[in-house]
Amino acid sequence: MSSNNDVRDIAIQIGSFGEKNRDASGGIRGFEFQNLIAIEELVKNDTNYVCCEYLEDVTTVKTDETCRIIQAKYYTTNFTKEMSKEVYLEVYSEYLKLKTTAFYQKKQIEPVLNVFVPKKFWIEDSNHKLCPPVFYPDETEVKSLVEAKAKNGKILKDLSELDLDKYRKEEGQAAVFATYSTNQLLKDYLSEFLIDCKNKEFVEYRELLGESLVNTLEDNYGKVLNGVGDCDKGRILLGLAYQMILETFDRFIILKKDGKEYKTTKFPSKKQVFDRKRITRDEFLKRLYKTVSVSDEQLVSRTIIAMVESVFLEILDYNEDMADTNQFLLEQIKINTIEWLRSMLATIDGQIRFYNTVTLENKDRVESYNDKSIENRRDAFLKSYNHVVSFIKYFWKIMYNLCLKKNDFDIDQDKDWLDPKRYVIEGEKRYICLRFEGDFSKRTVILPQYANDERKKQIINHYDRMHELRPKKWCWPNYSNNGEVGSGNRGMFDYQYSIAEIKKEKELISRIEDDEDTFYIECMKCIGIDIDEWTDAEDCKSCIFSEKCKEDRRP
Amino acid sequence: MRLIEEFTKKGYYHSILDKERSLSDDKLSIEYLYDPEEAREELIDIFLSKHGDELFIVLKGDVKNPGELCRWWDKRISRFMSFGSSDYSILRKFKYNVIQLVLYSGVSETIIDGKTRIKIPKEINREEEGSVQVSRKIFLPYTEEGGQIVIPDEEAVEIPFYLIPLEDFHAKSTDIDELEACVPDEEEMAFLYSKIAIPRKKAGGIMPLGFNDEQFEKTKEWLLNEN
Repeated sequence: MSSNNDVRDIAIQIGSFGEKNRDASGGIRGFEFQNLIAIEELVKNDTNYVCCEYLEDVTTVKTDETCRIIQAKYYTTNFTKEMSKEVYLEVYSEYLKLKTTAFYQKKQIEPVLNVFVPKKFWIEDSNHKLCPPVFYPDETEVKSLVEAKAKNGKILKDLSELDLDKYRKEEGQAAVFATYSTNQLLKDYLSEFLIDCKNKEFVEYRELLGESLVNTLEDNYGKVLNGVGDCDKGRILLGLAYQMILETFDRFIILKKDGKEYKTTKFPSKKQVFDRKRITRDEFLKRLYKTVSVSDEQLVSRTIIAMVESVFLEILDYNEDMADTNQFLLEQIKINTIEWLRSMLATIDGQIRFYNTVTLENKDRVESYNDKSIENRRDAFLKSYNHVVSFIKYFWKIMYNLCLKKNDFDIDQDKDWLDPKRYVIEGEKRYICLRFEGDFSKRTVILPQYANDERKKQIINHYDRMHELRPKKWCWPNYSNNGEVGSGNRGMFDYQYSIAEIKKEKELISRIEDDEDTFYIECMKCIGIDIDEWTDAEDCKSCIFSEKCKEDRRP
Repeated sequence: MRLIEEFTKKGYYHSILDKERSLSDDKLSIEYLYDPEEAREELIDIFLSKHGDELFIVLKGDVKNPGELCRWWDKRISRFMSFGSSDYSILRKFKYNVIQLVLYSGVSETIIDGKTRIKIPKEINREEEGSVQVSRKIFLPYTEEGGQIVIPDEEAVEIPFYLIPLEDFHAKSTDIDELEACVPDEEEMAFLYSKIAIPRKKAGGIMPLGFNDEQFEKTKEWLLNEN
């Protein structure tokens, strides 16, 4: 005899009949928002488990066994009454399916629309306070819409019919309304329905979510990431949690046939799909805690990947006008970056290679990295958080620029252009040495932006490390004395020179290209990585790859 | 010669390490050359010329590997030449004129003719003197007298601005005799001891002769005389 939990879970699986491939109609931001809602649900104390894109965008089963079915909508335009009507109907269909089960006939179902609307569309309430627009449609209006759809709907003998190919989304919905909708059910549904419109800016919402993750984890398990600032803690944990949510979207399952393992997208049973999708709160928190506190060899890799995830989300947040296609491009770059880093950071040598590139420390500190414990190595990177972010952003922006400015760029044919491995010179193991087409330099390093208050020390540390490594070009965002980014050091410099051979002040780069003793500093002023600077691409050939400075500043 | 005194005496060399003088006057950030808070045992002083076109780094070279010391400073000099000033033209002025004065202790010998003679130890590796990377290197022996660094004149001439004072020259008596013997006889060839008036070129083109026949013969004989 099945346990109560099994009955409940089977009910949820029944609710998933008729699930077609959900398209992320809200684009990448919509997808991101939905995943953050899932994390928000997992943080709540009364959550038992959560499923993403199963039954609804986010489905929560609570500890008291009631069920919350959530549609998450991220709008870049205004949220209107019309839009809320559409959502009403969609969620009603799911509600009805659940209500066919004996289990949920007796238990409460909470239908929710969780929505984000940009601040510019907010309206004043009765207290003259700006708040997001919330429109609950009229009961009679919804009723007539349901009846209109039900008219054309086929009567189902069993919900499992919905999985048949002949039932597309609209037809499935009509069939459900025709078969199961009643006035009472609709009334109950409408009275339960909640519209939760986020009354924060998106960046703030993400930060608060990070904070609540930290608090929840620490309440359950104790302090984590000691020595890391609260803001960074939140970002790292959110990055890690986000990664965990993404794993449930893995469309592949590994099965065995004739003793051999193989990958397939065809899950043998609904239960297996359900098991893949379900994330229990306990497991989630336990795993999250383990990820930041257990010192296995992958600790460094996991931490940096969390940072990378966080950078991606941040870029999306701060560039509202970025076109969908460009967002998708950036997402591919991110996915490839994570794969590249995961592989490189699996070994200490790979970690040193990365550390040598992003740190502001001196040579001795880099050399002593090898002797550190796993936690201390992870902490060394946590200390370099902003520098990792700076490196990732500049590297990504250059790749992004190259793709968008490439003639006839095709995302399938040219997919390797979106992969960091294409630009990394594998033969150089001591640091991340890059080569970009169109650039005169065959050995480029992207160095982090330094903090203005320790400018001299950090310049000295960079120089001392690079003196041995001899990259030809430093892509180095740097300040001038008056604090303005990018008007600092730029042009040709020497690792070494002969006093018997006086070089001209404005020596052509083409004349010293193969000379190991000279190098070039690129101030990166022309490359934007800040708010609203990812909407457009820069032509690298005419700025950072060019021999001549755009502003014709000091050689 | 007393080294530090000589720098300041010349008037146009001044010490960068002088605490009374502000570095920003020269628009130079000395931290790129060395860390003022780090005690470098070998560093005696750093001098920049009055016109900012020559830099001397005075070092104590009594180390196991003076070559390594020079290369250590070369790296810092090239770093300084990249970042030492926001005004690149200031650096460019002395970029190719940096000199490492590497002093090593000699052993003093007996005092002869009022001058201390210095015995140069054979172990010092002066290979780096030939290097033209980043800076010139000049190796000089020294002693300390009354807290001052003293370098013998015959060695100190290697320093570009140093000239041995005339009064310090003592001519050898044998050399004087030899020299006197070479000089023509004052009575017989008195014409060489007074100014010879060169006659003006006469119109017609022939250049008049400075010597008459007798004078010419006597001069020729003197020149050909091997004594």
